[in-house]
Amino acid sequence: MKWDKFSLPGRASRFILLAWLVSPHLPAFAQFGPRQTVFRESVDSWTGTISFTASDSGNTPSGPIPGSGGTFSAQHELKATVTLHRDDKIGGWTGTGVGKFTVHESFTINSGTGCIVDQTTVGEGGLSNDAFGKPLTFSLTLDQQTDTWSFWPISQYGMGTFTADSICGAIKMPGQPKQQPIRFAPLNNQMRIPLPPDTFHLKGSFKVTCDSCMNSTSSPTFTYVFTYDLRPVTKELELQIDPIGYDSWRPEAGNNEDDIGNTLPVDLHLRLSDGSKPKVGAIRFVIDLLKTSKEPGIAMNFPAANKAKKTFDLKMIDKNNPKTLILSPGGNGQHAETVGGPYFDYSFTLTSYDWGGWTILKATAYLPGGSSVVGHLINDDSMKEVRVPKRKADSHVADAWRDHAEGATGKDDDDSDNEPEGDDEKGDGLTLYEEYRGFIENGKHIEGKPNKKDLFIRNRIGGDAEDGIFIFTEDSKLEVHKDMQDGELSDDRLVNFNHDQGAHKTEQHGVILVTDASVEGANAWEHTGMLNPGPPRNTELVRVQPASKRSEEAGTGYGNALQGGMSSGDRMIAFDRIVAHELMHTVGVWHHGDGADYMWFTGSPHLVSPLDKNFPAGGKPFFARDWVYYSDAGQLYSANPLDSTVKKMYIFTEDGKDYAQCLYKYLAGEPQRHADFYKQNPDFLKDVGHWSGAGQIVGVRSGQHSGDEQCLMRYYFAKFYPKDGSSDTFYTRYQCESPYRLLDEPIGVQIDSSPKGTGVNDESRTPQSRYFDAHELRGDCIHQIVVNDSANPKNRTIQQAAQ
Amino acid sequence: MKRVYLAILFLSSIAAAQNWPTLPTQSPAPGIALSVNYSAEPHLMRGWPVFARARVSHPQRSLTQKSPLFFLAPSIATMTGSWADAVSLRVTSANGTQLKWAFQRSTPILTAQLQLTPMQSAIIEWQMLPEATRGIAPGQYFVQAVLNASGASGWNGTVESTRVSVSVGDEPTTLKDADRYTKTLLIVDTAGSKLDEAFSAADAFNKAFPQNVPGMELKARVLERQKKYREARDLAGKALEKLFTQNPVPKEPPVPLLDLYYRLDVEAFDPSLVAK
Repeated sequence: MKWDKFSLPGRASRFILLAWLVSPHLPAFAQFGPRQTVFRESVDSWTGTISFTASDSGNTPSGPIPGSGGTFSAQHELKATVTLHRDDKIGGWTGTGVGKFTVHESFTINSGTGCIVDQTTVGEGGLSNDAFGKPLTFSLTLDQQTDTWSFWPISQYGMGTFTADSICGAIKMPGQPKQQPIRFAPLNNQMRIPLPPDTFHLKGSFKVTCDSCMNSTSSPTFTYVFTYDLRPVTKELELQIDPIGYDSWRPEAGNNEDDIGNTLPVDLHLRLSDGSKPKVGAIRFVIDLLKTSKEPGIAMNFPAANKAKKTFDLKMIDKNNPKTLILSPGGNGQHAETVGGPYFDYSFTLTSYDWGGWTILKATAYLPGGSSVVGHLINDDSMKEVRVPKRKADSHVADAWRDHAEGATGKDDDDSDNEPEGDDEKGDGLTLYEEYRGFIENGKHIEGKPNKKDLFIRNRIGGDAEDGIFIFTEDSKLEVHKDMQDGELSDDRLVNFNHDQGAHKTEQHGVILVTDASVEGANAWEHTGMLNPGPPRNTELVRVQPASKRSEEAGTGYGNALQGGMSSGDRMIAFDRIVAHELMHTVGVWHHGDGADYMWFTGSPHLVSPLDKNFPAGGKPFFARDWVYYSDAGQLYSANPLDSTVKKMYIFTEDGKDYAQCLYKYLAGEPQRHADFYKQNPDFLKDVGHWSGAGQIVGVRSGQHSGDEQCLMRYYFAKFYPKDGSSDTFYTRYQCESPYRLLDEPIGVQIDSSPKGTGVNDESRTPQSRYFDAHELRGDCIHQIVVNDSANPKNRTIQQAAQ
Repeated sequence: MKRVYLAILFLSSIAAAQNWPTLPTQSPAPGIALSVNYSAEPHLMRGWPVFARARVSHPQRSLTQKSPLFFLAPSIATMTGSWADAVSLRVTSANGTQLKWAFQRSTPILTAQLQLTPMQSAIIEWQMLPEATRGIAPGQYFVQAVLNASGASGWNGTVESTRVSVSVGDEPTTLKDADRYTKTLLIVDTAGSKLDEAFSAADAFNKAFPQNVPGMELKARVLERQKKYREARDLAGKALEKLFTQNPVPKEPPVPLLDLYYRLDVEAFDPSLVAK
């Protein structure tokens, strides 16, 4: 930093004077004024131009003889480029000049005795030596007793030609030109030119009168104009601003806006450019925090918006600073000045109240003599407005966070998180700044992941939903924040409601899980029932039925036997899977097929068998639709099985057996079982599959049961599925030997990355794929995930696609 | 893979896979979570039973990793006890005063050592009887599950669950259907081996609200525990019929009810299971 500008309050002089007096390094021969001291301590050399010019004409002063007197014309000029160096012997600077002087004087003097003398003095020459052959030097000295300076040559003589022609009456006496020393400039070391108050650059002009500077014996007073343009060659005096730990510091907050988060100690060092301490300290330091943020709250979601205050996020406070730092009243900790200087070094502290705060730190040293130095960041003299925290010029995000947060390279408003890639919709609705400023989760501060999509969950169910959330987290690959508490999401589920100047793009929602005793199973609920699953803005609640105690079921000895088509292990995780499944909906994942892909057996198929009263002898049992049955003595029988309107339906087990015969054999083989069966199940004949009324779930091609067997978005309830290419033939998961036991169909806790059918849906399976690949708009669930509430995810409504 | 992922209930010692690498002691901490009355913010009526369930999960949960194993051993002081002795419930009032509520573990856990793979979690359940809850002053309370392990082997340390916020009050004169269902569910879930008591509560609710599907399902579950499989199956079937009649194409099928019905279907008609 060039110390070109300064100002000095008058009161400062006493401090510098004191410093001067007590300093053992100062020469004893003079007492300098405060501005002189600053110049002495700061300027090593001067370079520049000077000139002394004088021009005058008129009458010479009258002599003692009546009638004496005369006229004159004189011009002096000295122009030089000078270089002066510090010279402690004279308390100033001495050096040489390159240039020349010119002198032209013409006097016509009447002696009053009848003689007239014409004197001519001319001269011109260089400035290396004076008229006596000695080196011609120039000096800039500090005047004693005053805060002023002077400039003078060591010698005012150069060589010139003097000629004096006389006429006395009629006698002319021409003179002989004579080489001799002639004066060309004043020699005045008490010029008392004021030192400029705000710069070291000496530039201006000054009039100097000299009574005997002309070369004639009848010289009148000569007035020179001293013109100067001298630039200092100084040791740079600089104020270094040294925030301790600047590279690794980021702001933090306390528990609320009134609590202190963390602090940033800052040291100020007044130094010369060579690193040494100057001999004169600063009278005071003035510290300003500029453009300090006032983001509401302490983090993006805390406290609640109606409680969040917009107060300064970074301050200087008395508690964390020395008593010599005086905060300006009403300044909110944004302006402070030191008292009790002079100081070469000073330490103070910034206090943070927000996880995303920012400010600009400016410090100024005020010095004796009125000068001031604006501080700069240590090791970066271009940064006079120090960004706190350390950050890019166009950012409010601390570099320290960018250094360790993977992917934090974009601008503050960047929201290009792309892990998981999902539905090609980048981002999680949170800008880089918001991820950096962070959130409060269960009372603790957390940050978002710049390269990973963050999802926030308010789990009002508690531990019962933990394993489901775990499955969801593992499968989705999202960064799930599952411990959000009341007050950490807004009433309308927003997670980033505390925003102002920090980069903000989207009102991003979280997801709420609740226990709801009125729900069977679970659903990702929104009040219109019309919105597509995800992004989270679409789901008001995930409602889950209470996780009632299942320990007896698991502990009563079912072992690992398959039960109702589900292994005991599967049954134990069924509840967790429900939670995970619904959470997948909240981030835009659809079923493998639509609800319309359920198919029910129409016409209430019945088993028509020899057990029926009118069944023809020798006939084989079969299934028929739209059958009318009647009751006779407590048993149910089909109507005429030979009726031509009978609609037959064929069902085979997966190992190719006729299920009608299997069922008949089972019932007929044990009369008691048969009777007991009818007694217990009067509605049995309404349908094949043991539950009355609504019929049976038939999983259809590319419906909800289709696709990857292990995907948790696939369902697993269907007992029947159509034989490929047939309208009246079906396969069943029931087994012939045990007609009420279903073959296992696994439930998945993974998420698929392809609509391709696997396991029971594998196309190469025997007798066939049960439900085939997922619908062409569905499946590949991992690539349906969308978290960003500003996104418009692909509409996978099958009916709409068909239109 | 998923079959290895189990919420282990009253876990027995696992002898398998002894060559798996084990989790170093002292780090990192396992997870622990709690629900009270199936919720993280239950409203507890005085005179109702209370049911609490804590879940201890592997510190490095993963659906794909089988190791390292996590061990939790009995405390040094009670070497003869169970790992579950290290887990307790901490109750505090709104002003932070620690209280003692009469929680009892629902079923004894006798297994000495808990061993979890990253896929697994373990469950501990407690209950409090109606007589005990009558003595709780109305107000706001917080309940946390605390795992404090100082075993001679296995993981040592303390970890606590997120707080469950419990508001305690008197049962209103008129209960909402959902609250009455919850009360019934709590009675059933805390009845233990008193199946008649459980049935009485479920049946009373079912009779009072014959169209309430969760009530039908609950009664069916009690009937199943009483080994009345066919009766249970029929009731579950009626519940399904009701649901599907109302909405043949639901957005989400009633998964737990379907699972129950399918299981009962087998239990009701498979000779190997049906009690004659």
